[in-house]
Amino acid sequence: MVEVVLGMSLQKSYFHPGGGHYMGEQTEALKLRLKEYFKSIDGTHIIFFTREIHQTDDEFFRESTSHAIVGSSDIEILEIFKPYPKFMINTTRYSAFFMTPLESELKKTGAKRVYLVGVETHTNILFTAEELRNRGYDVVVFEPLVAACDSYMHAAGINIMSNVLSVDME
Amino acid sequence: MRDEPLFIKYLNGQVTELDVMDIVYNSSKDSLSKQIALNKKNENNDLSIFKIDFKKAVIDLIDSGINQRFINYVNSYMKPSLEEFLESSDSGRAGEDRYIVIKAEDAPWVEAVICYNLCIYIKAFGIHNLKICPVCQKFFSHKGKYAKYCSDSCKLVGQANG
Repeated sequence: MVEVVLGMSLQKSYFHPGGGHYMGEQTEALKLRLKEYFKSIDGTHIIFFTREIHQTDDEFFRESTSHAIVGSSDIEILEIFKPYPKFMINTTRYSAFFMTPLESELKKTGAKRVYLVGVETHTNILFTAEELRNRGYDVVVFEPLVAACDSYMHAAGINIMSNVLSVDME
Repeated sequence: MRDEPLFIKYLNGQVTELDVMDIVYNSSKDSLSKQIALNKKNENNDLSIFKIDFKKAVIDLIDSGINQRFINYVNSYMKPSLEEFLESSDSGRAGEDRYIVIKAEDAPWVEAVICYNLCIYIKAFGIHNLKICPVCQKFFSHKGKYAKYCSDSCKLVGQANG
């Protein structure tokens, strides 16, 4: 059975100390875990990545600090992850389905189950999980492979996915 | 009056994915792209979701102009799929000849070709002539900046309906 792994926002914005949404020291351990994970599934799973690219005057993000601005180094995928994605989806919103090729490309794979890893738990992971469930996909989130800058929001994201959206948490 | 570009014909159902593959096969300058196009014709090519999404992207473009979500959308298809080459003659920019090469067989290159066609259209003509006819809901671009309807018959219907 074909299974797709969606690596979300594995970019400098969150993982590099100079990034607009750098998540601190926790990213160092997360990077290592993700690297091992991608290495272990390379060749057996189809790996898609999402990458945020925003414009400076995007009204949607007026409540958060600007990050992943087009043309900045924030949008670059970390070097250690570059060998893995089969397809890169550029996003402007938390849901990776909003104005992107994700639905069309997922359908081509024939997958029924999608694994979500990356950042952040309460934003990209949560809102994409909801859209996947709306479309009838089984969704699995590996808790050690997702993170958020705020531990309270991370826990909230995990709880909503697990208890409301019927996402399998491993 | 000029012919409508490929992406409009695709949106309006005048050409299909198979026609796009034929165009790529017949117009490619490299043998690899030709072979990939030929192979693709024998596969299951259901691009119905792409067509719906692409239509939304073009409507967004008409409504909101060029924005980052539109650029992200077309780049997601074009970057992994196509490489553009430019051949220029001695006579300057007027003699430029653009052509594309398919980068990888498993990339979404049919979608990318349609997005590329849209981008080339925007580069040449801008977006002000790109419209949707309020009567027949078809896309059109050949009537000029101030046109509201795609044809005289739609204009008559539209004006009669007030």
